[in-house]
Amino acid sequence: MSKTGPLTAASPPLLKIEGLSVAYGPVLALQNVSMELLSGSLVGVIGPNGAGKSSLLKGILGMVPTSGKVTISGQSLSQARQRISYVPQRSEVRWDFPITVEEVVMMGRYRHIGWVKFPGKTDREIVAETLEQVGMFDLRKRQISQLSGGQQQRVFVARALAQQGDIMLLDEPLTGVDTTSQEVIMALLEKQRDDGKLIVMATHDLNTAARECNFCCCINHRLIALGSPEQIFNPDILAATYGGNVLTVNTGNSAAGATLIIQ
Amino acid sequence: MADILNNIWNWLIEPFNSLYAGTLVRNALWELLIISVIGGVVGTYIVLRGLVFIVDALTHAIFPGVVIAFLIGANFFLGAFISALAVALVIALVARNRRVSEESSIGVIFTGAFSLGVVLLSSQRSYGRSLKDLLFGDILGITTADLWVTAIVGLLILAAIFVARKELLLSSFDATMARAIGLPVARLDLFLYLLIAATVVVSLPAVGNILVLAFLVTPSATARLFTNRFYKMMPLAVGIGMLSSLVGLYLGYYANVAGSAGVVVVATAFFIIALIISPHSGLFVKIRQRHLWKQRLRQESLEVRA
Repeated sequence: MSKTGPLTAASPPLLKIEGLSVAYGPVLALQNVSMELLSGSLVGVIGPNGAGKSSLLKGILGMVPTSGKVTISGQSLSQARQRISYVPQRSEVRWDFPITVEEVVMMGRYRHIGWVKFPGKTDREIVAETLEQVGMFDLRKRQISQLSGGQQQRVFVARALAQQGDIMLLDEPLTGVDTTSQEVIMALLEKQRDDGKLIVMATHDLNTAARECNFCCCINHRLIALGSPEQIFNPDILAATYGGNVLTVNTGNSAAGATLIIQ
Repeated sequence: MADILNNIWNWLIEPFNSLYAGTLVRNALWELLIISVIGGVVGTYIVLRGLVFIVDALTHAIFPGVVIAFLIGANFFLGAFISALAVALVIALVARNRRVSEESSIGVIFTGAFSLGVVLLSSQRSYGRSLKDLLFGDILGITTADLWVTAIVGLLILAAIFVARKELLLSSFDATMARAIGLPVARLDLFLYLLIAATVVVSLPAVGNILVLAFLVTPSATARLFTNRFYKMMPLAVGIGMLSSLVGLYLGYYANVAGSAGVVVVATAFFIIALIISPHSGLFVKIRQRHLWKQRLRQESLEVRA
């Protein structure tokens, strides 16, 4: 089964995924997903736990065993990997590592700096700039374990910004994060989108996805649906994605007719 | 006053100037200082990545290679390095496969290999003495040629780490991100294991199979207690290793005890002191923090009552 999203346009899509499958040993995490995503969009990847949201992001970057094809503006992954930045789930990092906020963000520059060489003036300026953007400049000398969860996540978003890619993939960036940090992160992602970047964010927070994303992508081991929140947030599609575990309540008091979702 | 200073000075330089042992002690000191440098740098990665158990296994598992080289009269470094290579490869594979219970298979392999080494060696007449030297090293038996080998290999190890320092840091801290930006994480892991193996092998003649782990781990673990910065931890570990070596050598000379074991005892003492006085996580700091908490709680409850 191959499905193409409604985002098809005349210009080559920024991110094109064709028949992507991800398998861990005998377990198929993601089956035959195809979609085309354009620049200037904020895409929310939603679906139940273990449905393959992370696998989709990792599959795009070829970090897990995959089959299928991923192209970035027509270029292959190996040619265009630098254009994609990635924010891993917070649980995948050694937080007790003796490293400062500034040093973590500098890691976003490593690919630009290359082996052997030291970071240059431009790299340091970019790091300072992105730290300002996430409101963490004053804490730049802190060791990362001395930050709150939200602050840690902001540092990781800063690191992804420092990579200066056109595409940003974020794995659950809002999970376990305080409200202030959520707002800072979402505002940044929206600004990035308005600057013409493509943001793909896995999340289990349906309310945020409905409110903030231009497109939502429903995943349950395969692509269930891809479209605007208005198209996606209807009982049929959500039931197909979550297997009937979602209660949707139409609030009706919003101009846009927003749907309030209670999980 | 001048007399006392003079006496202290004489006491300090006597081991290195003594007629029979001077050259041996000088060589021993140089060797230990070089080992402290590589041990502190490589050990920082070992401690931060939680590889201590794996490296312990590595040091034991190359023992049969060392014994075979000794028995057939082949070059010691060659024997040790070939078996270290083999073991590093096996461990890199095992460590990547999450389905095998890593700890049990490593435990099985290293005790098995170690016993094999002892079995091979026990066929020899001078078994006891050679076993002792192989296990605990012969710090006063270090020749100038040994020193050169250690120094050159040490320089190569440091150069290799310098070239890949950013990439090693990233893959140690956040392997997912390292993979995401396309770093060859598996090859970097193998590269690090090989550097660890090389460090172990050049250190073996001086400090032996059993004690080499302490030279790699103890100074770095102590340094971690004093700093929250990666690039401060390395030089600190090197300094602690050097100081332990010097003090340990004096201990060996004046108390007439085994040299390399003396160094390890001193290094361990530093570690225990660090556990108590560390500014971040030491016993004193914790007790003081608890005291301050209690005080604040008491004050607050008084305020509530008032």
